[in-house]
Amino acid sequence: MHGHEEIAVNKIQNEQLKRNLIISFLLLLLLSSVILVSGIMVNNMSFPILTTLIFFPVAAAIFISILPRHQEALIKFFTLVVAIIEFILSIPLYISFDKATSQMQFREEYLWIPQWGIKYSLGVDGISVLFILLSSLLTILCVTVSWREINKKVKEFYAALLLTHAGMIGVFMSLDIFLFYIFWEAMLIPMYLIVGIWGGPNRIYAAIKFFLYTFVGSVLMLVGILVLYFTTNTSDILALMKAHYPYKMQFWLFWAFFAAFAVKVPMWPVHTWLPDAHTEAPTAGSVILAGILIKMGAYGFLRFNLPMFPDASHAMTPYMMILSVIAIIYGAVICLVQTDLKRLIAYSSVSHMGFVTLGIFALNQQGIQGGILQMINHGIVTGALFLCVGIVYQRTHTRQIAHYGGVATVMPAYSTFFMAFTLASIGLPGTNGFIGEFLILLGAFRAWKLMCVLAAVALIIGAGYMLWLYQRVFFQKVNPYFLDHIHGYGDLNFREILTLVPLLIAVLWIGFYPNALLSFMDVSVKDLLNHLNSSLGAMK
Amino acid sequence: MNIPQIPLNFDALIPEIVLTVFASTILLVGLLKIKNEILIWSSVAFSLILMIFIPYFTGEAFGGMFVNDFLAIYLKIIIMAGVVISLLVISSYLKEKLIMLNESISLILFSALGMLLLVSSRELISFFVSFELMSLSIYVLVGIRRYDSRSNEAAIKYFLLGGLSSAIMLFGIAFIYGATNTTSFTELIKALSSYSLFTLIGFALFIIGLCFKIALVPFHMWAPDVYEGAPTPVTAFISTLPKVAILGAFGKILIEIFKNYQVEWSNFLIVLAILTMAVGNLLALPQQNIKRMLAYSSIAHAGYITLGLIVGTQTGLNAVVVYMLIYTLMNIGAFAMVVAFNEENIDNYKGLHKFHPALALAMLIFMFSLAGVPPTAGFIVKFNIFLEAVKAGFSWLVIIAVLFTVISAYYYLRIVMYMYMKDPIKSPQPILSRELEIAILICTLGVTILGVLPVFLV
Repeated sequence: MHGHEEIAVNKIQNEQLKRNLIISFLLLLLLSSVILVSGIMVNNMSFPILTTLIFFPVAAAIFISILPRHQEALIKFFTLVVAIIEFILSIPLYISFDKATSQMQFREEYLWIPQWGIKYSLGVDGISVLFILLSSLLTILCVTVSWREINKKVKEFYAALLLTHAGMIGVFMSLDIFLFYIFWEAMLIPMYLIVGIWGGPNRIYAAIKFFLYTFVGSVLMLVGILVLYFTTNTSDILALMKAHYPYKMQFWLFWAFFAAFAVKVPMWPVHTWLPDAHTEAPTAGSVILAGILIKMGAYGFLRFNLPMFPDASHAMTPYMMILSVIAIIYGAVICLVQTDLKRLIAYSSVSHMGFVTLGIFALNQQGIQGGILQMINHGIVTGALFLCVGIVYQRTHTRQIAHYGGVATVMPAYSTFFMAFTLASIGLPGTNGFIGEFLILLGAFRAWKLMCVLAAVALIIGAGYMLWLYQRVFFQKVNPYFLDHIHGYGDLNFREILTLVPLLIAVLWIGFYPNALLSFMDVSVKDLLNHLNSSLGAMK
Repeated sequence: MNIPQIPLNFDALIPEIVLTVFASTILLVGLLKIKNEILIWSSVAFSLILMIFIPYFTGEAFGGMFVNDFLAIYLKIIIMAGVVISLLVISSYLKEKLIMLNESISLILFSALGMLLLVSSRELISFFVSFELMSLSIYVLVGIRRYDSRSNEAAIKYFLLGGLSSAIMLFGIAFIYGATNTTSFTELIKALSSYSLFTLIGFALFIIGLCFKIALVPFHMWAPDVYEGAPTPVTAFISTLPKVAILGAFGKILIEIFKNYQVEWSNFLIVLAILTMAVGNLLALPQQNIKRMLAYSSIAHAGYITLGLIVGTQTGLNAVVVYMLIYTLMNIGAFAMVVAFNEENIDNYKGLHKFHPALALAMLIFMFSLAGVPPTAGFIVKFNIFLEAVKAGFSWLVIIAVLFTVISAYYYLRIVMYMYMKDPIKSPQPILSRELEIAILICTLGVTILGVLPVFLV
């Protein structure tokens, strides 16, 4: 009898807790919308929206770390609310962004380390603003998808997730090279923990490999930063872009920065950390890695290599394009022989990111715009595919393709979502993938026809492995192993549908109306190209 | 006989005099039965007050043989701060192991006195005497666990090799005196403008003696054994503060007195720095004993620091000094964690996070700071040193250094990985006292807050 009473009391307490949670949820939402409105009202922008975006999740992570460990529901709920507020806060970036200028917007600047003249300087332009929105969106989905998947060290997980998000958007916002480096590296720590603590069986190897690969690249970039800082005596990225460096110096600095960015992208042949890290990371970790983290590399090319070392960039273009095409074909071919769902999608990332770098180093309007758009697309689509894999992995605890089959009959709604994202990944017209790849191929065609042809051929392989994967997993007879392991779970539940729907909307929205995003980057990319070509003219 | 009238000016020396009196008092008072808490907290409070008041005692004494310039005061503040933290760490340990507290406290204070004199002295004899005051106190500290054979072995080893290095240094001083007929730094600067074989030999021996003490390869052999054998809190003390004092004084001597020999000593130190980084980092990789690993890691750090000396400018020396501040915080912090966990085998750190999440987090911060990953202060100071080296045109050396940093990340990360990602082998039995917690908290906050707001830079 006593036990029953205790359960009853617990139930009441639970209910009270839930009610309190919902009330606090509403209050927080209200608060955030007030902040949002004031942010827009004050416009252009005495309200430090970028700083808020970075440090709100940091503060939340610190707050989470003092919450009691056993209150897991509260921690999850709190993180979700924080992520949603973060997303709402980032909306002003979308609404009041001035698309007609390539200037940095939402500027904030304070002197940070006076001894070195280093400033805490933030701002966004058309190249970076979209990544912040994407990161905020994906973080919400990461929270919801981890709801059941993460059941050890819950507190640390959500704190690490928020810190990673803060670090990543910090990278996209920094206008000071020193600050950029701080965010670039700081983000590694929580990401290392996410892969290493909550990952799959081989997680420790993957985590260390991820950290060391990235760290090697980063420290070489650090030397580049030191040299840049020493020669120009400023760490302001905008000032560094305006300066002109002798070719020999450009050459070495190009490679120093290349080391960091190529590892991050990852370009062939330094891509080998990616399949391991993506495969072993928990779903949320894979989504962040694929969605945002590897975009930092390509963003780095656009922000540093191209504008700061234009002559070297022009000279290196052929090599970069060749490396990109190797990555495209190599990644696609490897995908054909994968037996592991997540690993397949990870290798497809190598291929897709090859498209991105191909577009960027085509050095023309279509190529670069396509590259940026494809980064967003890849973040959405591959993020969605990882979410999908996570959803099914959470039921069956297997990632082997051979263990699946006939999933469509058991989980029809799930299969529909997966199909949509598969098609987007292939680049079917009407989905976002098509727009990005088309623009990239167009740009590559103008730059180097052979490379365009090779990349286009690889698209066929891409369609091959994705459709074959879909066939093996979703069609055919229902695999008894799969049925045994589904453990009574049915099709998608409400939470999972809510996780996938925003991404599906994004896929179709960009697919049908790409200008919604392209218009953001138009002027910035044009300006970047002008800068590139003018310096080339100056050299001749 | 005509004895020149030298203005003595004891004012600048007041902190050292007060410290001498206090340390002797602690030693005597130990004969009475006084509670350990009183001894500890009074010494901590005294050191803290001394640290606060040190900046007010500027100026020269004994006709320029003892100078409190900006750098000396900065170093003295680091030393006294380190003494405060070390006292907190050591006291908890000694209470646990029932070792005579008053002796160890006064030994720490006496060696601190040696350090304070060392960074201010501008004369070779007083330099040497304060150097020995510091060293002798430390030899005894290493062997403070009288009935522990490892502690004894470490003390003997340290004493013999330390004595050897002191002898070499003294020999060098003798050569320099023989060549120049003076021991005062200001006189030496004038006298050393001309090349002579004797000064070169003396100078080389002098440098080698100092390199012994800061454990640059190939003069590092004693360090791992001594660090491992000494009681852990003593290791925390000897791996940081003597280096602060010696590197500060060393840099001053190099860039002021031996300016004319800069080509020679910077080439010599470049070789040593590369060797030190290589040996320190590579040998830290396979270690199974965390104290030994941290010993090799601090050898490696001496290698990075040497880059700042090689530059041979005042700003380079400043970079060295601020590096020492953060190095002291993070190294004492890391050793304090070893004291807290009471565990030397790295394997036993597996799964620590499960039992002590807060302590594991602190250890994680120290490890990332030692590896030089932002946003910790370890990154800021490394950046500072590397920046000075790049400015002086040693970009290639910086590339070597950063690549070794990557290697070092592996063994620091290994600790983090064991704590967070492995399953525990056994439940740890941490020894946690209030003093230790305070020490760890100070180090953690210092490493993180100063990493974000580097107000300590000069």
